[in-house]
Amino acid sequence: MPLLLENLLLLLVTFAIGLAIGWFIWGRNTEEY
Amino acid sequence: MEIGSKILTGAAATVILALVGHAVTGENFIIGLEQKAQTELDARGLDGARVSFGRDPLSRSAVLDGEADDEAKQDALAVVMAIPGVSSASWKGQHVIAAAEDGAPGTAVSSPAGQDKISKCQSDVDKIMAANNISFRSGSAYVSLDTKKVLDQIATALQACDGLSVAVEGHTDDNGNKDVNRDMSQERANRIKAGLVERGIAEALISAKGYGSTRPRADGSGAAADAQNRRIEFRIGAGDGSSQNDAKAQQEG
Repeated sequence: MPLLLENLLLLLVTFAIGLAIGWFIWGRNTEEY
Repeated sequence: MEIGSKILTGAAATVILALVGHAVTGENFIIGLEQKAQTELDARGLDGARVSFGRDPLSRSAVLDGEADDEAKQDALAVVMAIPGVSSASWKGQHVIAAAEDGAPGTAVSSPAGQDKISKCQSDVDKIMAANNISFRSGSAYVSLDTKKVLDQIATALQACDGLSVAVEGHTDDNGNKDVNRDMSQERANRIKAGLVERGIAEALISAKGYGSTRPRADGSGAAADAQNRRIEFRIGAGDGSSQNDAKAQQEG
């Protein structure tokens, strides 16, 4: 696999994990702050 | 900003980060990997091999080139593969490790010459095993320094058996739980197999199986019998890994 693709996938997976964690912490609460 | 566009912006920023990071560090990373691999090859005396990595596109797959015999080629592959960051290694123009290709499995067994080859290989290995000892401490699969020296000799003998398969059999004494013993014997066989692969024997040609205490060599349960039963055996077979054509099995009936 080309290195560029590896780098892209790695960062996108990191982004997705960050998104999931963010959603888990803040996104689940639907109340207005 | 809508949540969807926030996520898209984040994803786009991530992609840009990846592209910039790749452009800035990618080539140096591959050059570093290449230098490390070449240094390692030279240090092992395999300086006939030149290693290069893909540049367009950049890739972590190593391609080796140069003049070397099959043994050295396998060694070089193992050395390069062991470097952290290298994803795969191959020789230019070859997809499979050379030792796995030759030996013409299938024909080797049916011909008497093939049987002779298996018998000779088995007897070479048996001689080494008779003169030395692959032993383990009770309850341990740790491969000792002495065992590593024996493995060096076995690997050298096996390299002359081009294309023949070898079954590594692990056995334990009959103390303790049968399931634990079987797992332990499997682990011992696995370690020995890994040792042979490290020494350049093609992994596809080696099988490892643990029999626990079901096939004791010595009867009884004294310390001497236990020590004899905690052992590794090597059985040479045809290149296709079949054991029914195994020369030793035939010798033993």
